[in-house]
Amino acid sequence: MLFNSYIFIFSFLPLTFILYFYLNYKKATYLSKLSLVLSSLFFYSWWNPIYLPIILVSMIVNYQFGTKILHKYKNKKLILYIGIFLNILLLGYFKYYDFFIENFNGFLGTNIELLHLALPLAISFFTFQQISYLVDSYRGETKEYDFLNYALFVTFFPQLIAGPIVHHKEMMPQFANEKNRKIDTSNITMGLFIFAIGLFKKVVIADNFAIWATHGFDVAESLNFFAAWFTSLSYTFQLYFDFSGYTDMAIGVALLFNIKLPANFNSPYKAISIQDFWRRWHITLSRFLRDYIYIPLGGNRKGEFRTYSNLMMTFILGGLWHGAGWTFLFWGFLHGIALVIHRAWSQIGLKLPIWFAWFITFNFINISWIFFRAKEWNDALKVLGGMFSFDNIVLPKVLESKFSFLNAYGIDFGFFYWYSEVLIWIPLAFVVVLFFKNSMEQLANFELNLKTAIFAGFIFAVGVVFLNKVSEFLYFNF
Amino acid sequence: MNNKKWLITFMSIFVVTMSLFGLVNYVVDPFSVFQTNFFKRSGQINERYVKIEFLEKHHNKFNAYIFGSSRIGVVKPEVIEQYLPNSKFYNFTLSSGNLHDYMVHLKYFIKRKYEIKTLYMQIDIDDMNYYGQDESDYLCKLHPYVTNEFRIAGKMKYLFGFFPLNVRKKISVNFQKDSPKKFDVSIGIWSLPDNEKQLEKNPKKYVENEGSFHFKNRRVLRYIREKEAMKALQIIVDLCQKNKIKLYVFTSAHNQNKMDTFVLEDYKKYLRDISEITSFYDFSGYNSVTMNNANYYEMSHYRPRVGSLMAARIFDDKNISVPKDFGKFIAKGTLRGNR
Repeated sequence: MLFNSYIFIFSFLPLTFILYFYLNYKKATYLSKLSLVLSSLFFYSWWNPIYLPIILVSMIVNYQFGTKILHKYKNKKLILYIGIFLNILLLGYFKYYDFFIENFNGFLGTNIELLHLALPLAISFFTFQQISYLVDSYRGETKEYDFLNYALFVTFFPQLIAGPIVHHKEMMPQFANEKNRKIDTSNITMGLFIFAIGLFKKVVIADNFAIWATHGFDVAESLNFFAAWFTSLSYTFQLYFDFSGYTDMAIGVALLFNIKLPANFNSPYKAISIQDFWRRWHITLSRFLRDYIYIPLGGNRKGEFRTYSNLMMTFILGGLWHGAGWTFLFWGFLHGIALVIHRAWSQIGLKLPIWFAWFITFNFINISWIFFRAKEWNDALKVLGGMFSFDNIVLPKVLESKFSFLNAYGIDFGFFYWYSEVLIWIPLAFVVVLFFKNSMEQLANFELNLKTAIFAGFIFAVGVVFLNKVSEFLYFNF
Repeated sequence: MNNKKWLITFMSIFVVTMSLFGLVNYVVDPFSVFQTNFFKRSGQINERYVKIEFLEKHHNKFNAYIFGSSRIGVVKPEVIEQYLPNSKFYNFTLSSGNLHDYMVHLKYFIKRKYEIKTLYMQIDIDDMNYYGQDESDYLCKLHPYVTNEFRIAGKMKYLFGFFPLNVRKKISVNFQKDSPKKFDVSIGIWSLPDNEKQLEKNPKKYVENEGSFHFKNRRVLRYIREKEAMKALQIIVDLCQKNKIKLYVFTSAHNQNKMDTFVLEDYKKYLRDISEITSFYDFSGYNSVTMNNANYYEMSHYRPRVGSLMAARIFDDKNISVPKDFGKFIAKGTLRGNR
């Protein structure tokens, strides 16, 4: 079920909310949690119930391993390794098997059949979340002896499909807190406020950029200079507004249930270095990669060379986490290289003017997203080729009378066939991401006044009237 | 302000804003689904919606259907009825219709026990590239009955949606001097009276002024919906056999400039694939009708007289002089091996 759907907003969410708090009101705590778990599983199954057993088995197995880690101190390291291995095996089977076999066939000329399995929804998210639970249990940072609680931690529907990736220790105390079992109108106002912002970001902004990005990447046979830049920038903004919009909605919905989810975005396109970017973009994934891959690999504790190789390894794996493909791997590689260069640069002690640092960072991110988005290498090269080929610049015919001297520099005037709306939307998007407060800042400064009520009510209504278009969250694919 | 007042204000603004959107959509009725008629001229309608609404009440008046995209929408039922005594046709032409549409609607008609003795179905060559519709396109959205949704839920989407371009178009159509596209839902056809008059008066001038005839097209349309399109055609053929429906299949007489958009190899393969499933009349290609721009309103839609020529060929009408190179019968399986 999508957050941006009539069924979610007007049926599922109100019914789940009423049932949960009614059972809590009746002091039926166990049943209230059970209702939330069952509702979450229903929410998950809405797309395709066939994958319900996978998440159920995954939860049962991980819970058993977690419990064993907590009890059997002597073998707990082995149990942890087996648990992590089984999680990776599950993810590998559904997500990476075909990719591996395809390349194996390609390199060795074999003809092993592909499975062509559809990727179970959210498998990357719930697998990572459960690996973190096993590791945290091993480290003694968390414990859970109740399967229903554990199931609630994994399946809680606001964050089940696309994060934020949460720790057991930051979720379960909130569910255990008796205060949170009563309806809190201040959380409802804040939840609706942030949900409205997220819905607007998703259905009004991101879905508009999606049209132009899709056309440029998937439909257009070739792109001239401007069309290629519009395509790449459209995707850059689509991805941000799509994913951060989803996260805002998730945070908003969770707040209705008095649960505070961690922030996932902090104006990432304001970043002035690649390191800064990763502190602002998909924060909970960065946290996972740091705590469960980079630091266990040795982090920066084993000399410069190992630090660089750890960074590279972490980001290549981060790329692969997003998708089984060479383009994702290359995207991760690019970010790893960028972080290595940034680290080396910082150690020399050189500094760039802030505007220039932002310019380089933003353009690097924009260009690297091309590999993230492209379905094939050729699509990426088509967009990149257009962006950096200066012999196909075409300006609108109406400008020809005033700028005809540009003909001498190989600039043509003709039919400007790209969607003219992007000329308004892209500058506006720049203004919003660079100069406006982000959703989390808006939430932190939230005040109960007429202005915020009118603003939220209006954008919520606009978001709802945009619901009648078909869309999907980009991160559902990862 | 306290939380309660904030929530009341939030909800009030939400309701007022939604009501405004609903009011505009209801009054303007950009897809003619509410039939409010505050704006008399339609200019555009969701044929899939409007025609199912009509047929649900009046299907007893018909026993035969014309299926096809908007291109066949200019053909009056009587053109076909003259060749099939006792038949009463409804032109179920659909804007951007393709084999998916014909399949789902035939299934729906059978399910609803509409009487169907004859199905006169035109296949466009573009269908090799298109199958189904974008769900976000409200001009082509299927009726909720056809998709097994609740009618009220389907209608609410038209009421509380954001359709700035369609609203603007509907309003502008009602203030322009020229008479726009006219729809006659009672028999299913559409017409362009002004264009028809201009073409009758001075075809040369019309053709000169119509830009789409002079645009240089590239061969970009490929046969990419092979599996879906052929599966749908097979289902249609099987359903007709099973339900004793006499099926006439033929390809559209695409204008030469439209023909220039098809990748030739793919176009030929598409014809071969159709012939593997059913016999049909082929009016596509470059011939004396398709190469005469005066037979078309623009490069996509032919005039009624082309539809009459096609029917005359199919029903072998000796009283009408059909150009020899226009339309040939392709018996099932006879294109096999042709390159």
